Amino acid sequence: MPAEPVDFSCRPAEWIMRTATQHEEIPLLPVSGEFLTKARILSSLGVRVSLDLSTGLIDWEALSDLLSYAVYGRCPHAPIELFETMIAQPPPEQETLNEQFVTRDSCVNCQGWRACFGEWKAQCTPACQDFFTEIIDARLYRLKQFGEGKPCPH
Amino acid sequence: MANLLLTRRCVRSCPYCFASEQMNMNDLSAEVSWEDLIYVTDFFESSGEKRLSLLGGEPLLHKHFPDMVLYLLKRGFHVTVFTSGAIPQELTDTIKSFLPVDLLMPLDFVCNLNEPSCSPKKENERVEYFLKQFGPKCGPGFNIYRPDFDLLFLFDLINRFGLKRHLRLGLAAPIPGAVNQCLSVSSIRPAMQRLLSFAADFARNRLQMELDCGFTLCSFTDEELGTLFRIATPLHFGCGPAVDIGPDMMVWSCFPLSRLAPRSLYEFASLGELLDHFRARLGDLRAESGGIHYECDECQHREIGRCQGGCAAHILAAMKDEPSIRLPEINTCLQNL
Repeated sequence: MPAEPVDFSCRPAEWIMRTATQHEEIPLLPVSGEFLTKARILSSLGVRVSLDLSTGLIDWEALSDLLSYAVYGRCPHAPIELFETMIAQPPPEQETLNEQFVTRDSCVNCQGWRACFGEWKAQCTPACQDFFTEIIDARLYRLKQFGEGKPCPH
Repeated sequence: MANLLLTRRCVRSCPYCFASEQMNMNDLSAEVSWEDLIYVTDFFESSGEKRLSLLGGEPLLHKHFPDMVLYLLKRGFHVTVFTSGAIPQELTDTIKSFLPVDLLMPLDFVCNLNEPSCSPKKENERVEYFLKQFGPKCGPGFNIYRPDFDLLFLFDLINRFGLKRHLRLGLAAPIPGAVNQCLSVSSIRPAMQRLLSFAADFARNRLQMELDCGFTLCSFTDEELGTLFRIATPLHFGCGPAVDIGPDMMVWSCFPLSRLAPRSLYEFASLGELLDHFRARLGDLRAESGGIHYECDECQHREIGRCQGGCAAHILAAMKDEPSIRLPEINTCLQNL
């Protein structure tokens, strides 16, 4: 039987039990503050969550915080999609890196560029740079923990 | 089992409140966030602990109280909520709509009850309404803060609302360096005599009592200990650490000792490590002074661990006006009182 659609505008008590029982995966959630909290709750209950970066105002700091939970959380939890894709993305080839190094645009000094690839150049902030830098750290952590190409066992 | 303070807000102002240090010194609006609740839940689960007590202030005032309880239940935790029950009736109704009384649900309330004659009428009405809704899930609790206390009202509430027949009895502890109504060391013995005067009522009502921390073995005669054997849960004359986690993730041993070496939860890797820290601090304190009586230092029951020598807050309070001759961490704590 298909799962009932979830109304996340109501209080958590109304969707916590139902969602975690009926759903294995929740469709895209926007990345504004309250939805990041909801994503964390769902992930910790074992429900796969996907975040949609294209909607809403992005709170990069809160997103970094959620990324830390998704990658370094001490208990098993469901993957949060968006982070998984970003972390699994292979780092740029040396040739691309060299090209980037000689380019005189605003990304040349950005540490996060190796994960962002200039995609967020238009709204680049220090918090955004920190987020993508953390994605790179997470990529290295996963590589160390589980080996190349293997997803998080959680 | 450790305690998480959901909020510092409270609806009562009990004269004996030994949490008032924590309730007054910090931002009352501070509440546990979802992020921190998930952190605490993960911390406990990864430490192999699946029981958590929720405290306040009044934990039922947290705007996400039923949501957070449901979350913990979904994570497989056994939840105990310490409440006064003195919340507005509409709030009781809202909570009940999300947490129906299901005896199989691993959720219990310990309702800390004050003598009705010492409480405002409206508060008594609210408590009774709460007990009417959640009675079978509630175990009564009572704090002794003067030697002439009365327990008869408890038997009435237990029978009227079908509460659990298990009374949790606490001794109101002093707050070192502050003022609250508590049972002084010299009034513990008369209070225990008073307690035993209700023994027949306990037996007649099939009510078991549980002595919380801070009681001492020598407060009872051998005959009284025999009576307690029949009407109390297995006796343990211990003292902490209880471990309370504040809404800001600060951790301390228990409310009265909240200034003795508090730390942030983030400094610890596991519950075991956290407990070791506070056990060591209490050990330091007891190395300085064995218990609440001078005789505790050489007591055979303390030596073999049958009695820990009473509430450590009494020990710390007694050291308050001494010259700085104690261990550095205790001296630091005493200087801050």
